[in-house]
Amino acid sequence: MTFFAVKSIAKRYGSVVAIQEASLEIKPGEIRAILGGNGSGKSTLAKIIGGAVSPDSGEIIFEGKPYRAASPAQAKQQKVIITSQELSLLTNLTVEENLVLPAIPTKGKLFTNRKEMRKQALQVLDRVGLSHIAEVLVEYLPENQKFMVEFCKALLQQPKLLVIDEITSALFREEVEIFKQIVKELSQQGVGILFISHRMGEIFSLCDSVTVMRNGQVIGTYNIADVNEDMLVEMLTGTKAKSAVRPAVEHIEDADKTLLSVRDMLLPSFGTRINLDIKHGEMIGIAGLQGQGQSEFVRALFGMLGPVRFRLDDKEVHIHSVRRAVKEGMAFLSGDREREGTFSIRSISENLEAVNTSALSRKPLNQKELLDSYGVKFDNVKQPIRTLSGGNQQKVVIARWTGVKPKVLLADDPTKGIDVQARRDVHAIFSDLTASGSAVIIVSSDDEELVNLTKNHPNSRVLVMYGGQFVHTLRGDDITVHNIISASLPREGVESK
Amino acid sequence: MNRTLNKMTNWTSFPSLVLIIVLAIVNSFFVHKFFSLNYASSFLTSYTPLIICAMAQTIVLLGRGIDLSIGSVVSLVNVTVVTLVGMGWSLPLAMLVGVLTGMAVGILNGFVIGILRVTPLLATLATSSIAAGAALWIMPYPGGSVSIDYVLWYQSLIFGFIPAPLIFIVVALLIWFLWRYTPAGLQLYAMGKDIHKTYVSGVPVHRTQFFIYMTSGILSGIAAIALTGNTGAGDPLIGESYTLHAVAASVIGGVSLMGGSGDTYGSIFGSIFLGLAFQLVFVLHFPSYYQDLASGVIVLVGIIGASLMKLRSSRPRIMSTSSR
Amino acid sequence: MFFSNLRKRIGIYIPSLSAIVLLLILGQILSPGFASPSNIGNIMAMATVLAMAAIAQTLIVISGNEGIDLSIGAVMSMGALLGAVFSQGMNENIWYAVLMLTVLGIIIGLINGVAIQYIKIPPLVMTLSMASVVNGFSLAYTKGLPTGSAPEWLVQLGIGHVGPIRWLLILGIVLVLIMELILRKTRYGRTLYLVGSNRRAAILSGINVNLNVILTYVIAGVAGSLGGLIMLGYVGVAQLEMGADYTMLSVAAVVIGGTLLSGGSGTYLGSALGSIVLILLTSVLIAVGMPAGIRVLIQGLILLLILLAYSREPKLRQ
Repeated sequence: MTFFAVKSIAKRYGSVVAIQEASLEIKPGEIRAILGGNGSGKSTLAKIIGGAVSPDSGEIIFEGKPYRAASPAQAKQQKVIITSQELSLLTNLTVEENLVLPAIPTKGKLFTNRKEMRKQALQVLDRVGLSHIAEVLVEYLPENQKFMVEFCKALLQQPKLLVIDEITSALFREEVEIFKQIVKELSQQGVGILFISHRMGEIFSLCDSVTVMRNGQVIGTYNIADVNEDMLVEMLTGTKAKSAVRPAVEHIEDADKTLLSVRDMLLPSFGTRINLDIKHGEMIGIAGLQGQGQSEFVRALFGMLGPVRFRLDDKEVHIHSVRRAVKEGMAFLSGDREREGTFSIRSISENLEAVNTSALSRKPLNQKELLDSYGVKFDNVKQPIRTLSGGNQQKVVIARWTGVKPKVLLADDPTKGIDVQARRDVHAIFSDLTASGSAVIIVSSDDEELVNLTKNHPNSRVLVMYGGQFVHTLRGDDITVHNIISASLPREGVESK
Repeated sequence: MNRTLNKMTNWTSFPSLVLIIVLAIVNSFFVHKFFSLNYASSFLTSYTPLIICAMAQTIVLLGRGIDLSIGSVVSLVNVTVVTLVGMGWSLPLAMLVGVLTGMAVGILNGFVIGILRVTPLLATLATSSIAAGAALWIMPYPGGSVSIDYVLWYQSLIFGFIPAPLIFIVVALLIWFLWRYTPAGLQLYAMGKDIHKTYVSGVPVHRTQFFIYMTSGILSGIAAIALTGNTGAGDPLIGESYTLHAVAASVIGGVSLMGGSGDTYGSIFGSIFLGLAFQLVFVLHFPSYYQDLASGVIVLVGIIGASLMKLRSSRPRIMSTSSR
Repeated sequence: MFFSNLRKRIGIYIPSLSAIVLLLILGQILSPGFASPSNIGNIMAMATVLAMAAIAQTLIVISGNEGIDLSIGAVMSMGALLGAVFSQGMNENIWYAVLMLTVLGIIIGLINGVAIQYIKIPPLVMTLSMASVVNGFSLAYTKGLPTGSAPEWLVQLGIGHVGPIRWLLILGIVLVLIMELILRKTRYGRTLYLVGSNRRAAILSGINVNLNVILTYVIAGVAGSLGGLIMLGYVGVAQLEMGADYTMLSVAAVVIGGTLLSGGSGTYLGSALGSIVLILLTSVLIAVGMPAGIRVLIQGLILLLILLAYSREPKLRQ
């Protein structure tokens, strides 16, 4: 009997393909790692399995029967439990309330049974050594405990199939050990486990097998004993490994003129302070694991996290608001097009003029010329921007900035979910921007992209961030995917938090 | 001791409790025999309808919704009861039909919002018109009456020390307890905070929304029954101000307009605050035509004050990172 | 290509246009003489009054953030009542009335806008509360006894014609032209659409969102109070709360006109057509002899049906 199999699942959101085709199969008690970069489709797959997203095509078999979950509640009924990367916890409820939310115990079928709630909560919290936080409001918990609670919530529902989506990144080492222990116990009881993670160490020490995904497709499935880290990285990115890593250097003694000089800038979430000098025409890539401060850094520079000051073009600037930042010649590009980039129901033309409308000059842009030079295919500038492909939409958003000639372009994962060709076009635009003297600071979770951008660019570096600090600088030939990944991962023997 | 004190001051309804104590003291200087049972009884006969409407609005607000039809439902139930009594129906039966009418509007709201997913603001705006129109049709002009016995009973003291309107408040509280102490209550708070995360946690959110609005309708009906005991007659426009005042009372009572925070005690305190404030205006002998303006300003100031306090305590960052 | 574009642009008005035609036919059948030029003139005149309220509602809805103006009815009532008092029925005082009402409208708009943008009070709650204050203000100012009356010129505007065409119809057309011009050609209008469609992206593009939104509420306030003045001219006398119905009617007009309540899109022309539809509907109901209560009920029902068609939230399951 097939325990759990995903057969040719596909899903697209409008013009964006999340999953082109995914198939995999596991046996009871198997711990399968799902390894994939950004845009690989792994999280979407998890959500489809969990009932929160409906697939366009394909089917799933569970315990020998067709599996259908039209809602998360239905998935849970069948004991298919997912943990969310974005956490499914409600911050205004306590830990124990959150734990039992999917199935609140009752007294006499009507009233909430608080005693039973406490009992169940402690039962699972005891296993992870967190019994003392049962009554604490989730909003007051530190990140690592939140993720442990998310894990416990899944455990409490007694899964037969458990999908864990990126839980361990936020956990302390001891907690990771506890986590692994529990997963092994579940496996022995015959529970099937899908472990979505990028942490090689854990994958190799915990999992029986690994499925690699890239660009919405399953590249292959392998026994863990048959592969090593380099092979996996190769499959993840499609490239080979290179030489060693050089330690960090922050101040550069170059002859070129400094454009941007940051001193003692605070990163609120980490409490760390950043120093950085950037010259005219530099292409700076910022790499590292998710949530190490990269995004926060560029947003802070743009004035989004409160007042900041730095030297721009030999002038001391005080940025107290985003408007001020724009006036001073900063530009910001977000990978979250939907929420932070496009005015989706408005026309291409309006999207292009967005910055021009308010902040800088009064002259209208030469729209057609701009769009053509970026390779945006369109019928009419008046058509709604959402009729364009994701990549073209992002190009329009970039064009809104390049048209007003910014001094510094800050980009937060700008090519997320964009097709390869459009991505190359965007990189070309960035390069052109630097050629005219502007600096580009780009945060990316796609290491391959950073390599492509900086490899052949004369004035470029890749800064790797961890825990809110720049921990490594890579230049020239040292900029390789392998080196970036190595520099991003917390090294064995070093205390991670 | 310190811990209980801490819990007390962090209670969302605490500021409003303080407010009513302060306002009560101020009022006592102007009202003869303020701290007497008679005054409390008289106060309750006037403001119990508001208290119950506020409780209804609070339940909806907790789920991050809004019910703009509360006032119109009060009018509708009021004229329905009075008209039925005028047609010879017994009072208890008429009151039952009244509450069922409120429930019916609530079910309409619940269906349109919970199942058909229409925006609560607009849906209840539309049903408010429907209910108000129905009220106007049933009774185009104020009139009719209910038995004087009922009115007298409503304004009396049961067993010599319990103001009759308290019974209605207790009934409303029991309905609140049906939410608070059952899984539905937890689901309500969760939904109000983040409906998507609640959905992902396997909670039947649509069903819960349906019951939220049904409850609001029932409570509005009960409020109308109490109101009828106060006025003794029917008026198709009587409920007009209740929607706004119910929202204001909830906001003043610490209920968040964003959902997920606050409780029904806040709405009770908030209503009492508004009642005391309105009484103060009355007692200071403002000319009658200034009273509406004064009430309006009080409500506005109350809402602004509560919102300012909320702003100060949360102090959100203007732009937080979308994914750490 | 030209025709497909044209079709798309007109497509948004087809529901209103068909409703207008249907209602005219229905009205004529149920009450012969309904479609007579004089009656249609009346309807267009009333529609223009509603269209003034729709200016406020349209702009505020486009601005996003669940923008809605529940105070418009009260502001219009104020405009009528105080317009009568300020002018005391004399033509010479019309300018004084216009000036004072404009100032009042600006003040109301400023209070609304500042509270909504800086104190973060939801538009729904703020405007609802403001309605109560404005009504109270009108009552207090007139001491419960509306005084003054409509100046002759205003009444001429309200019920007079130039040739076969009523002044109000001309005003209505002028309004549509001006509003569409503002929305499409001015910096304010173009920014408004961006602010409404994606607040966050607007802030990130360096747009002064606060200024834009507050300006919107100020314009709405002025449109409301001057709209009340027009209403005074049309009705001839001022009564307390005479503009109350316009709140819900203006919301319905905006929705029928194709403006999404989520913000960032919509046209004033649509709201104007929507106004005509609603007044037509009301007139048909009056012509058939429906009592006031049923009329209001049906208006609510129609709004509900429109909402079911246009205003549903996306599914939780993607």
